[in-house]
Formats: sequence, C-alpha cells, structure tokens
Amino acid sequence: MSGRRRVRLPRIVLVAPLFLLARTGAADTLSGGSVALSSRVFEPDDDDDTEDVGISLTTRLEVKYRSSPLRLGFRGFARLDALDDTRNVFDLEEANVAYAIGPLNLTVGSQVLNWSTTEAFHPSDIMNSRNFDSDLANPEKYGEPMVELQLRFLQGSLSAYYMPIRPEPNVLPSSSRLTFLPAGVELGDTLWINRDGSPSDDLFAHQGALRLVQTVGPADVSVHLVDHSDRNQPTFTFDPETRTVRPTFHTVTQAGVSYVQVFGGLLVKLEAAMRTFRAPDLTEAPLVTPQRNHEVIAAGVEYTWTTAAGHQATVIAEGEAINQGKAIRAQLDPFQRDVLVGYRHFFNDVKGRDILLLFIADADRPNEYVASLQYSQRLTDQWNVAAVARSFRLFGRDVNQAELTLTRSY
Amino acid sequence: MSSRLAACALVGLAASIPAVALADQPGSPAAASAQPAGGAARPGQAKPDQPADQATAPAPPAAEPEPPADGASAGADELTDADFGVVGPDVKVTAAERRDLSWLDLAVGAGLSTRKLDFESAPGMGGLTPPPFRSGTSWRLSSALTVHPFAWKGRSGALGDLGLLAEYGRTIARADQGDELSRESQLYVGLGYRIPVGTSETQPSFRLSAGYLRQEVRILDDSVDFPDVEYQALAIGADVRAPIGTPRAALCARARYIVVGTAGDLLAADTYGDARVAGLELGGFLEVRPLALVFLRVEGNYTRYSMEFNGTGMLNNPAVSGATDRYITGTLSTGLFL
Repeated sequence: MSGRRRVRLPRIVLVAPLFLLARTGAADTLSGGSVALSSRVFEPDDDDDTEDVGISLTTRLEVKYRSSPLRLGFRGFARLDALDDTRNVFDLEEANVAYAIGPLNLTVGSQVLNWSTTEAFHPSDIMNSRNFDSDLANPEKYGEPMVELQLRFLQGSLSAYYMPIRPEPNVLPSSSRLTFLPAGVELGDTLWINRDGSPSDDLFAHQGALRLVQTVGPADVSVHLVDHSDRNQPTFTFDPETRTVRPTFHTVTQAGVSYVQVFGGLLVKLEAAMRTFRAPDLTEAPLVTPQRNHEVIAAGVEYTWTTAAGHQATVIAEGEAINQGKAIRAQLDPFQRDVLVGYRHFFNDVKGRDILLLFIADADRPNEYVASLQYSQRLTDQWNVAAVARSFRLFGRDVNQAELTLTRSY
Repeated sequence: MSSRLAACALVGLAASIPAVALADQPGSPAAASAQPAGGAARPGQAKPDQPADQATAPAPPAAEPEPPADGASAGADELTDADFGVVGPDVKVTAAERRDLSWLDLAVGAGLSTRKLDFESAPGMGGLTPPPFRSGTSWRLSSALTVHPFAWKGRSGALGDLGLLAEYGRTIARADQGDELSRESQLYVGLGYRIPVGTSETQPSFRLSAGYLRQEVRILDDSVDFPDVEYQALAIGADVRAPIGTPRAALCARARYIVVGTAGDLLAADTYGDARVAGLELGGFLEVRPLALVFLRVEGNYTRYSMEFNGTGMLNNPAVSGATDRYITGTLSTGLFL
C-alpha cells in the first residue's frame, strides 16, 4: 500500500521526502566497499623537495537504493597517505537521487560521467575535474554536483545537464613526482576565467551540457555540446601579490562526437571535439594567457579473440591528434600527437588474472613516451592484488614508478 | 555405470571442440561475448562510469564451462556403444592450426623517398635556428625477407612462428630536378614472433619483433655543409596483417619504436654534441596476390627521429633545443610467398 501513497504525491522536485516515505520492504538495496593498502615507489630523483615513496590507505563505499520510481546512489572514497600528504583526498563521486516518470529521468546530485570510448585518449570526456596525482592516461575523476534531465527515446537518450559548481582539479605542485611544472615554481590557488572574460575565485558558475546517445545497429553514436569551465587544459598565471603561479581554467564551449562500432571481433572507436575558449578580459585579467581554440580527434581499434586455452586476448591501437601548431599543441596536452599500442590478456580463470600492457609514443617527439604494465588477480573471494610498473618521459622528465595494491572488498 | 560416465565424458569432450573453434570466429556469440575486464564498452552496452580499478564489489567468478550442445550429448536415458562394451576410437583434442601462414616471404621493390631535417628553436629565438636540410625526392630500391625456418615444409609448433627478419633499402638517384644531395640507406636485422588468430585464413595475425636498425645518410654534395647521420638503434615493433575477406588481399600495419644508441656525425663533439634521440616508425601496405605464390604490395612508411640537444656540441647555441629528422617512403614491391 505504500506504493499507492507514493503515486499520489507530486512527482516533481520533492524526491527526498518521497524517499523517506518509501518502505524498505518494497525496495532494493545494494551496498559494498573496499579497503586498499597501496605502496607507490618512484626511482629516486635525489631531490629533497619531492617524495619518492608513498604508502596509502584507501577506503571506498558504495550504496545503491532503488524503490521504483526512486533511486539513490552513493559512492565515495578517501585516501590517506602516511608519507606524502599531497595525496590525501576525499571524493564523493556519486551522491544523487533519481526519479523516473515514464521516459523521463531526473537526477539531482553528484555524479561522475564517462563519455569516453578509447583506452588512453579522451577528447569527449571532459565533464569532471580530475585528480592528476593518479593514473596518467586515466586520472581519477571527482564527482560534480549537477542536475540531469534525461529523455529516453528510440535506442538511446537525450540528456540535459546543469552544473552550478566547478570543483577544482588537483593540479600537482612542483614537489610532486608526477608534475610537469618546473622545479621551484610555487603553485597558487586556482583561477577561473568566466564566460565574460573576468577572472574569478568563485566556486559557483552557471554551466550546462546536452548529450544525445543512440544505438544504430551495431554502432553507438553520441553527440554532445558542453559550455562549462574547463578542467583539463589550464594556462598558468603569475600572481605578483603572492608570487605564485596560479593554474587558470578558461570557459570553453565544446562540440563533440563519439562513435563505436563492432565488426566481428573488431571494435572501432572514434572521438572528436572542437573547443572554443572565451578570451580573458584584457583590463581585468591582463596577465592571463588566453587558451587556444583547437580541434582534437582520437581513433582506435581493438581486436579481441579467444585463445586455444580459453583466455581472452585483446590488441589495442589508438592515436590522437590536435589541430594546432607544434609548440601550442605540446602545451595543450601531453598526448597531443601520440600513438598507443596495447595488449590485454585476460586469463578467464577463477583468479581473474589480467595483464595489461600499454605503450604510448609521441609522434611529434618520439623521445616522449609512456609505458605501463599492469597485473591484477584475486587472492580469495574478498582479497585482490594489483601491481603497476610505469615508466615515462614527458616534458623533459624521466619517471619510473611502481605500485602495489592489496584490496579487501566487502 | 562407470563406463557409461566415461562415455558421456568422451562425447561431451568431443562436443566441446566445435565450441572452442567457434569462439575464434568473429561475429560468433562466443567471440561477441569476449569482453576484457575494464575494456571499452561495446555498442549497446553502457560503459560503467567507474574505472575497473575503482570497483568496490568483488568481481564475479569466472564462468563455468558451457555444457555440451544438446544435440551432441548423450541423454541420460540413451544407451551408448560403451554400454555394450564397444570401445570407441580415442578422442584427441588438438588446437587447430592456420594453414595459410608462410615460412618464407621475400619482397623486392622500388619507390620514392624524401628526407627533411628541421632544427627546433627555444621559445622566442626562432631567428637563430640553423637552416633545415631537404634531400629532395629520390628513387629508392628496397628488399625485405622474412623466414620462419621451423615452419618449413609445413612443420608447426611454437617455434614455427619464430622468424628471422631482414630489410635493406637505399636511394639510388634523385627523382626530381637537381643533383643528388645525399644518399640514404637503411638496414634492419631482427627476430619476430608471429601470433596467428583463430583457424581461418581470413583472420588476422600479429607479430612482435625486435632487432638492430641502422639508418644512414651521407651528404654527397660538397657544397652542402651539413653533417652525416648514422643512427644505430634497437627497434621494437608490432605489426598486424589483416586479410580483406580473402587471404589473397590483406592490409598490414606496423609500428616500431626506435631506441637510438648513436647518431653519427650529427651528434659528434664538433657538431651538436650529446643528445637524447628516439624514433618512431609507422608504416603499412596493401597486398594483393594475383597468383598463389606471388604478391604485389603498395607500401608507405614514415620514420621520425627526435633529438633533444644537451648543449655540449660546438655548433650548439642557446636558440637550438633539438632537431627532428623525418623520412617518408612510398614503395611498390613484388615477391614470393611460400
């Protein structure tokens, strides 16, 4: 009978009281989490300002609740490093409530969106701020508060987003082993360039996006239009008052498309985007370097087959190119004109053993590369171990790194 | 009853063989279901918002082996030959092998090539950059040999896919107007391991390779004041050969990462000194076999070396931070496929 009572209530906006009225007997709840102990070691650089070793404890929690037409999601993690406090982070990736009315779905709260189809290059995937002190090619994303209204039709959906808050990305200081900043540069607070070109420290800004997704036969096609404060391609502004360099994020309008199609065992992927940045106001922000408009395209193929032993093998090849001058595109993205060759071997056994080998080379400057080898397997039903060895040279820095993570899931 | 169980097991084993073979076929349900952990989502299947390494719930256990197909298994009430004491033939399970793979691939070709070397300047100092070098377009002859000695006469096994690779090419004359400024040659000798996929001739094969690469450019024109180069390097590569519907037509793509040890006169103490050098080679060809043993190939290749000068050479100045040396070749070749 509780279901009838919910139906009589107004169907818009007041989703939280609805949740309170819902009875657990008519609902599904899913919860889980993990605790991970991780060690990270870099080849020593003999620099007292940088930390070559990290030992961190990461806890994750995920709770999902569904009582039609209502859904709640909560997912977050916290990381505490005993030796390197720049790695400490708390992130509420997902904390939202969703309400469905026929083909309409309204979601309010924090979300992490994934619009990417490729392994390492992600022109379309720009919506969330990143923690750059994580995986180089796939950095962790911070949850972002937003309102999403989704209309499901045909074989896909049309979503409209409103994002009132711009969480700061974790831009790494020069003391980090993963930074691209020159040594000795002191990093200041984040500076935002608003839509009208004015500089701002404000956390709030009106931002929005539209995304259309459709499955057409064996292909997935999506088109998006985003107007928001960029989170991935900062310029750097010297602040004479604090004598620091402030990472400066500009307002950008991005129109993009992504396409994925299966041809037998072959998966073909394409992402392309056109980015138009607002120019900073010359009088209000005279020291701010404008960000350059550009187009970026990434394409890739994956071929998967089953070996005679029943393992799954996948070969990956991808490339990304930015349409700009050589010097400018090198500043826009470390993967400005790069190619990737990768191989994944999934043993398909009860231990879930999985090996992933990736090699990215810069086609502009082959001196720059990223090589990584990842291995993971289950030890028991609850325990999992993962190891990563990574070596890269970017922006004139050589970094060799190893990570070992032991995870207990529950 | 034990003999009956053994018979069921034998029949089930036999029935599982086509299932394994099917799993290799693109488009088969088994292949379509082959999803790597953490890989990109397939069309019609939403990619999880959360990366695989952030997953909180333990992964599900691996799928149990599929039961044999209904039509192939002996039903519980059916009697088999084993029930009457008739011993059937032994069932041996062996992996099916590709029969279209060569033990020898020999190609000779002719084509065009060009070389461009540009110096890179430090920001704001472009005016002090040394002039670039342009070789013009030259005629080029080339040959390539791949031998799988352990696959000779149809022998197979893990060693059958181990191959010896050799390539040689050099420019012979200027193709456009003007005198021949330089002569370029390239030698590669290495080992490769072929990884064929599936059992069909129209399925792809991959190859991993590593070898010694020497690429040399000698300046022939005395009026050109430019140092020679001689890259000696370790080249690590991967390539794929994908038949296009028929084994008689195929596309091949190749990538090599070149770890350069020495670079000749260009990086000597009296020129640009020490530098960090690496290269990348991307290439591919379209192959057509009009006869069973003879092929024609149209090939394109792009090689790029990048140098970061350490500033120790006599020709170094603060304006020059590095150089980029590029080679583009196009080749038409023919050869034998045995």
